[in-house]
Amino acid sequence: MNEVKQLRIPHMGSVENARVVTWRIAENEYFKSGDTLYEVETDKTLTEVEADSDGFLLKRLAEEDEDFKVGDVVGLFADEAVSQELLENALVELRAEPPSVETIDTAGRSGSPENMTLEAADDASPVQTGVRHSPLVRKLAAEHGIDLQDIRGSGPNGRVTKEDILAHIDSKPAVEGGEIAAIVPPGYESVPYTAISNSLRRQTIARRLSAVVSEVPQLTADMEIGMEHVIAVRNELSRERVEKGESGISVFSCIAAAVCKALLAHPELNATYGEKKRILWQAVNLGVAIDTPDGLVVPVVRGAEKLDVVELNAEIKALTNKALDGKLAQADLEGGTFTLSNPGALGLVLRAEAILNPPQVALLGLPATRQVPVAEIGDDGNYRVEVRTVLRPSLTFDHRALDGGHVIRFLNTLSEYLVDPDWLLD
Amino acid sequence: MADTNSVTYNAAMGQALVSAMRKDDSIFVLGQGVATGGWFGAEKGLADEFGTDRVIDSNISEAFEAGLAAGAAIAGMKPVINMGFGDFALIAGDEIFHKLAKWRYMHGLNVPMSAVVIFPIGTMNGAGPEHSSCTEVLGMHFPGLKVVVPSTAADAKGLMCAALREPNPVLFHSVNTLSFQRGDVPADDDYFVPIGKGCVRRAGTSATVLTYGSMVSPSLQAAEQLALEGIDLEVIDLRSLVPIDWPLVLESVRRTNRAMVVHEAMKTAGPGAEIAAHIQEQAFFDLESPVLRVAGKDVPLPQHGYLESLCIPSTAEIVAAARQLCLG
Repeated sequence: MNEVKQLRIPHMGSVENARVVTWRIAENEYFKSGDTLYEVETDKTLTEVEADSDGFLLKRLAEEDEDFKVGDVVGLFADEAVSQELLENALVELRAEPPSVETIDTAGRSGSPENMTLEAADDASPVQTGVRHSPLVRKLAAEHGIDLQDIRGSGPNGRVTKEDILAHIDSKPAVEGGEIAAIVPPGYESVPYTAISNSLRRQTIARRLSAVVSEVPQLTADMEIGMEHVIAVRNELSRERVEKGESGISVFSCIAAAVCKALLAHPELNATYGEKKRILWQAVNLGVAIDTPDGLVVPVVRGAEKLDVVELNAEIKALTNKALDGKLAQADLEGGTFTLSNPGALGLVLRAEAILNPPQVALLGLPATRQVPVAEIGDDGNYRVEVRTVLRPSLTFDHRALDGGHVIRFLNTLSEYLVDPDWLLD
Repeated sequence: MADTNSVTYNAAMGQALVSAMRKDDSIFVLGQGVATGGWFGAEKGLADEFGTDRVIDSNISEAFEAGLAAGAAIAGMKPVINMGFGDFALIAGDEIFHKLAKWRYMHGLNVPMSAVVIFPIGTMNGAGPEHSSCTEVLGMHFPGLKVVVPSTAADAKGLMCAALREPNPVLFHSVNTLSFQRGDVPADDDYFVPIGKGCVRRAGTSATVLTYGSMVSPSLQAAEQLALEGIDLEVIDLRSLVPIDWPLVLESVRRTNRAMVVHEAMKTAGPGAEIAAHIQEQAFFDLESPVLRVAGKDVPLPQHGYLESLCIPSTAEIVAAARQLCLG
């Protein structure tokens, strides 16, 4: 039977917000199962949403660049074209339906139908039956980004009137010119500027980092590690491979492999903190921070502790390419247990302190590997200045979960693995 | 402003007829009793000046009058016919709403259809259900006609002047209760009120009252009464119902954010229904309240004067509706 069916924003892991970026199917166009219907930008990535079945797109209900929650209806489809009447009935039904609200259980899992609830109907009803606002007032509120619940209405039944809303606008400083003017600080009115809309990814980064800094007592420890040996081993590995026509191995991959190995020895750093209990993750899902034109992303190499350096190198390279092409899937971004940040790849960075990537308790920042003068003790017992190739990584940690001792011991282990890297050849 | 004279509403219509007939031989007047001044005196003295060849008494046959007007108009004459009572124009429905209204379109606008059909409308204290109707909505429903309803003596002259220059048939609704009401009327022979232009009779900020004809005066009285309560009504006299002066109406509604329509014609499917619908289509997001209608009751009008008065909007009803609009 040719019924009108709803096209909803699908569940994508822990994603809650999604912005429909581009439609790929036009209204009144047939699509096949697996065709890309539209692209969404989520908090974390840009994703193509594919059709589950064959169909005919009756109506788009999402404008491009419009924001939605997971589960929201963004279109109507059927097996084939339907009468105008059927379509309109479906639209009327849709308007009557309360918006869906997704709940996420405490373990952070989400998305399965059983933890979906429709609680909006109960929640919304007191508001909707209590005060109804005129079309004019609703338009003004939308134009000025005002929540009508913030205004005390002077009209009948507490209705907000045009005068109330205008008074509210007047009472707020610097809202003249709307949202942008609101963020121009006093004293800067005459400074020329360009305003850039924050992408959902940028908003997510900002929100999460603010939360981490204000909630987590974090501290950073640095260590100096001599890199000559690991670079020599890496060169050896790479040479063999390049001779066989394969791609080389990066120093970063060698460090990543050493980090995984050190984490197995110090699982308290591969963990998530809770007030009563901490979780020690039994796999190392290594997050690798990558700078892209659209902002920072941290794709995850799953089970990195089981990979040798060659496999790890290939995985990191694949994820980097996907990130740069904007092709990362939601699954690529989830479940990280420890993060490696590598600003040294971008410039001669001297120190790579970073902010934690929750719910992880530790993160290692890698500055540039540099040649520095070092005082070395010689066989004769005298110090000489030698030029050495060193890395001074910064380990930032959640002090609730870890003490300095844990961290220094981890860094000692990491240092050993890098200073004596023959295990890489096994 | 040029000189004005105090003139009755219907005599002002007559002034426009006289000055136009002096300049244009193709204009003639036809209707029951028009050679002796017409039922309401609009044609008083016309036959003395222009003779009974141009001011012609007809028998009591509205269909004949309107049919003759349609034939004369398409032949290039400019007939002015008086239906005596607008109610009886329904007898000539085919001639007015089909022939007069449609022939210019049917001939690709290549023929003139200049004709003025005078519809005396409205209650007049007990004329009964068949002599009191407000039928102006009919002209709104049949494309091809223009529809005017003057509320003052000056507009009666100015709109008649405009109607006599129109290439399209004009349904000219003269309001019975205003027939003998005096007003200052410009002495200028060519005084002209464009068809399709309303006017603001009282400027205000609280709500817009859209009215015309017999209800302009009670609406203004209501506005004065409400001004004492701090409700400041803007009263717009539409003057023309086809076309309606939408720019004027919508500008006002977007400014006051509230609107009501007041007319004597019956409420259901009356002119106010069209006006309210149009406002919500065009200005929904500028409205603080639903558009209200204060209109005649949906009943055959009683013969008894007191009962009749209960069936048409009173000043008190307009006041109550405006309070609801602004405070409800």
